[in-house]
Amino acid sequence: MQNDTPGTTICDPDRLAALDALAILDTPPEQGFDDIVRLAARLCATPVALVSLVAADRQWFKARVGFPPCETSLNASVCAHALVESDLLVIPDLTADPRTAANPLVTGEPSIRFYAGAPLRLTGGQVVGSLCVIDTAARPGGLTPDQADDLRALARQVSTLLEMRREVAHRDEVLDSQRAELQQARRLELLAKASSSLIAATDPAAVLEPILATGTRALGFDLCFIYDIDPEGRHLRLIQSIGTTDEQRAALSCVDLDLPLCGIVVRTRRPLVLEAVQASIEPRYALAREAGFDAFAGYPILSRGQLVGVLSFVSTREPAFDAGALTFFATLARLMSSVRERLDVDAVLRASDTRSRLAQEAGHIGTFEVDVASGLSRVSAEHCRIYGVPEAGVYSLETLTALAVPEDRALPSTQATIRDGTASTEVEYRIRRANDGALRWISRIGRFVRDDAGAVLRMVGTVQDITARKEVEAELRASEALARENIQRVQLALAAGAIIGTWHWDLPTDRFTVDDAFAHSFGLDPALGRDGIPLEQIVATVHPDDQAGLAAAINEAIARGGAYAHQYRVRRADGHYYWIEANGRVDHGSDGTPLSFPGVLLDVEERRAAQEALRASEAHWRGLFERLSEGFQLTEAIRDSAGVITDFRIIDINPAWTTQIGIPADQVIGYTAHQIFGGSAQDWITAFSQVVEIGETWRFTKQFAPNGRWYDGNAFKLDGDRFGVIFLDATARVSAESRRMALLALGDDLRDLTTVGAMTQAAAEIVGRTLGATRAGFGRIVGEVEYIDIEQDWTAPGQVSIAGRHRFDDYGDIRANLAQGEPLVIDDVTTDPRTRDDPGPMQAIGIGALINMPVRERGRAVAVFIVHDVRPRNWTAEELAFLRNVADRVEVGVARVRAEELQAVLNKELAHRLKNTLAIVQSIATQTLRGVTERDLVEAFERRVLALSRAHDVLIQKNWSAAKLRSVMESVLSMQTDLDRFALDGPDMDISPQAALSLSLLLHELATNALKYGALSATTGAVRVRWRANSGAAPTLVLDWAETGGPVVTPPRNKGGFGSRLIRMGLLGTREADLDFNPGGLRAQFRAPLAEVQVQVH
Amino acid sequence: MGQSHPPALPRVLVVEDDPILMMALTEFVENAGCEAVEATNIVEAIQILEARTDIRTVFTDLDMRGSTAGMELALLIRDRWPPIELLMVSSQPWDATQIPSRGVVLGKPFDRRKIEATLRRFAE
Repeated sequence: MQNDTPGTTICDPDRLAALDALAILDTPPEQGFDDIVRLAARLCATPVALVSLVAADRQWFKARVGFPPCETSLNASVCAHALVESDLLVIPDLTADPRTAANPLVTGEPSIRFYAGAPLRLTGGQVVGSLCVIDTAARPGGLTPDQADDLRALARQVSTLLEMRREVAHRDEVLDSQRAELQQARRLELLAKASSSLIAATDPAAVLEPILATGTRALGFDLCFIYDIDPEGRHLRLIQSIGTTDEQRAALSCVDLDLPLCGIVVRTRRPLVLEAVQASIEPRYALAREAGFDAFAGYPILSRGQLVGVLSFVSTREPAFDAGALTFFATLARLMSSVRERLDVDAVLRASDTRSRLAQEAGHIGTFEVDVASGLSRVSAEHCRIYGVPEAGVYSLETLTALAVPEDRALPSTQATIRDGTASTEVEYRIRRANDGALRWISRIGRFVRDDAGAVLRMVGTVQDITARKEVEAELRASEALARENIQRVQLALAAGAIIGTWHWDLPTDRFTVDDAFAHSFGLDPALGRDGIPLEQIVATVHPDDQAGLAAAINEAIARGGAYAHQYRVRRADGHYYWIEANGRVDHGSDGTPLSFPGVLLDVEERRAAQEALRASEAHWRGLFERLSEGFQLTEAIRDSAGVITDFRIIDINPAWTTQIGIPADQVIGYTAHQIFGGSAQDWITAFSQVVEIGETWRFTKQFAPNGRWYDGNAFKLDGDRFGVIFLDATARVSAESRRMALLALGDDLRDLTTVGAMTQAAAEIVGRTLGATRAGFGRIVGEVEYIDIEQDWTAPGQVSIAGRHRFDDYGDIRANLAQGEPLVIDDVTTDPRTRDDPGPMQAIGIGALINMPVRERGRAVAVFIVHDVRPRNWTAEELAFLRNVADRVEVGVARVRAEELQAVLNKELAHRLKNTLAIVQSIATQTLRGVTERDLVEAFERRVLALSRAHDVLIQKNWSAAKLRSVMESVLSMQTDLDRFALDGPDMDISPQAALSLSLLLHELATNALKYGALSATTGAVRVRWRANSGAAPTLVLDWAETGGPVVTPPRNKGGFGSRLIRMGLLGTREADLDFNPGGLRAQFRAPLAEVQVQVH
Repeated sequence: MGQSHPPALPRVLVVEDDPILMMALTEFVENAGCEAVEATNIVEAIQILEARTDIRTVFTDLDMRGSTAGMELALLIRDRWPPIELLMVSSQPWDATQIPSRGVVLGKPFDRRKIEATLRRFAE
């Protein structure tokens, strides 16, 4: 049935705009419209009448009778059809009309049947809806002519009402905006008055009262209360109020801190703004409701961090203060706070003067007299009281000096500095008062008493407790820092670029000058700016749309005089237009003529941008700092009087600092390294002082003694004596490295050591030190894990050795793991189920935590590697793995030593048998050659066997793998005669068994000959044996035999026997033998490839 | 045999369980100008020492069956017959502190010169 409804009419933009302009949709019911629908229903005798407004997507009823919904969708709208009618739309039976037969209101509830509607036509011709009457029974006759007329008249009335309503709303808006502007101006004037009065005020509340009293209308309050908090901090005292009665003022002159509403401000120290208190049911506001409060705004007044008062505003007429008023109140509270702060600091200063005067008057000054010869100080009773020591009259200087805090201990004079006259005559230092440990500042003034020769005899002087003064000074310094910060903040805002520049306009001469910043900003010549610039040139930069407004504002200001503020767009040097705000003032002469018009230009956009950038960058930096996983500290070096850095103070740390070091921020920030860590961080102070002095970044990996952990980090200098340190815990890495180094060291030890005992001891020490344990050792398991025989163990200082036999069952139920060849690991003997029932035996021998790591032989645990810690500790997987590794290596090392021991036994037996056999060989040969007459040949044979045996003696020392060249020589030559007749000269080296045997036989023959015919046959003769390794393409061992001091040599006539042949065959049968039968003594040289002579052991 | 009575040779008791080595040892004794009295084990040696008083020197092998037999004998002799000189041969390294006083140990194989020189010195 919507088919023939012209959607174009409904959606006509002019019609919809007219409907919008009425601003009526979804407004509350209004009496005028309600009256009309009631009249329509009565006149037309229908149960339903509606003022229906047809929007683009729905119909909404401004007034209705007999119809509950306040709106329907358009497909349920019959009125939509009325829009296109020039007059009434009457449908006697809705079920019969094709436009409405399918309408849901017709086909379903409430089953309407009859409709008559009159269009609501505005003066512009737009139809915005209809006034309609509806019945649930069909009415074939429709409306009577009277009823139709009435309906039309009433519809006109509705249209008129709608338009009137619109006009009234518009008028209110105009009035409101005029009122708001007026109010704003009034408020600014109030603020200006208030701030100028407060700046110089000594009683801020008193100066505010008359100003505020004139502002109640402008600010929308009718009550104002200014409370002070009494010095004890227990009561609020009303010191000024507006709109109150004498009675109220008396009642509020001294009230408890929990006074409703203001009490909340006191407790939270934050502003409290409430709306519609009368409508609230909050019990805490009950008293305020009774007093008629509806809107409330209360602000704390703070001075030097302390709450000193409350400023509150109340409206009993309006449910809320507007935003402008709240801003005004907040600003006023801040002004009050800063004035109070200024006054309070003045008061502290005055009080400190008073206090020190009082101290002087009370004469709390002690006297002393130090005798240089004895080092004793004669002190007055007051001196004793100041130091908190018994009134003994005489003290040694050391006793008194010892009371000084460690940082200041060098300041009081000593016997020596008094004697040589270098003691300071005026010093201030801190002591811990002897009787109560209180930290007190002492001022000491002294002078020297000298003898005629100028030598110091005594020092006399006074001491005074100046703690109070120091506290005040510290407070003042803090306030000063705060003040400086505020100044900086203002400067920052200015530097942030909010001010573009300043101008000065001399009105009588019409000379307009600007500063350089102004000139640069607009691309003007600065010289011209200083001399005077035509105003037209300035105005030319203003946006064309704003020029008229600007001119009007300027003219108005000049005519009126006083403050001027105007926002407009100007084209700046970069060619773009920017919003700026001109702030100035027109000064009039006494006769009312305008004289000058100075002012500043504020960059509205840049000011905003700069503030945001500042906030963003600070938040960004802070965020980084907070989120950093590395610890960070901002630190300041502390110097002694000589300028030497002796300590440092931590100014700030990030959360990661605490995670990394393990000390909460409140115990760190503001403290010095000595205070936090005692003397145990001295190495860091030394290192950091280098950073500050030299200015170079120091990258470190260093252990931190106070907690034993390792840190990687950078320390870098900032401004002055400040420096930053950024670091990360590197304990895990360093421990891993140290475990790795330990395994390397263990490898070396295990290779070099030859007994199991030495090995296990070496391993125990390495393990103990690496794991930072208190004991480590090696024990052999006896029986089925019944006993353990612990060998000599390694212990940390102060721990006892537990070497000896122990029974496992004496220490708890700890056998099971070891019996299965698994490690026994206990983190805490007092909580581990295997030992907690009776941890006493463990604790008695210093075991808080332990590991027993089995050492296996053929798959069985035959021994354990033991690690103890006197404290409970969580053994890490890395530590267990390390110990497993050590145990494995010890296992391998032990196996090697056992094999070597076995081999040594075998070697010994073999040597014994070999020698015995060689003796038998000698014996057989001798007996066999019994008939031979040349007995020396027999003996020569015997001796060759002997030489061979000597070579074996040397070889046996290295398991027949190698021999030391020099040992071979000494062994074989000593067989012949005294060794001192030989000069042996050459590098010792390991030689092969073949080379050893060959060398033995060769030297044996040479020595035999020398004894028989050569140098050794004479008592003065000697032999020099020299050897060297010739490097080159084929390295060679060169051996020289040179005889001296013997009889004149004659070359042998024949080829000689076995001995001569042996010699000619040379070393290792190389036949590289040069024999020189020099008359002065035989010289022989033998050569052999070094590779065949020498062997590399290991 | 009875026509002349040359001066009696110094007697050396040779203790050795290996017959071949016994030959070598007695030869050293004779070459040193002494007369060898042979014993093939320590019991025999002790019986001889208990029966005779003309033994000036005992020459014993330390490597006899029962590895410590030779050294036991040497210690016993030093204890019971202190004047008797002791010469020992050994195929094993020896601990100088365990050697009885005035005793001399020489290694195997034999260094004929040193053995014979020692025997001569003991015989003087």
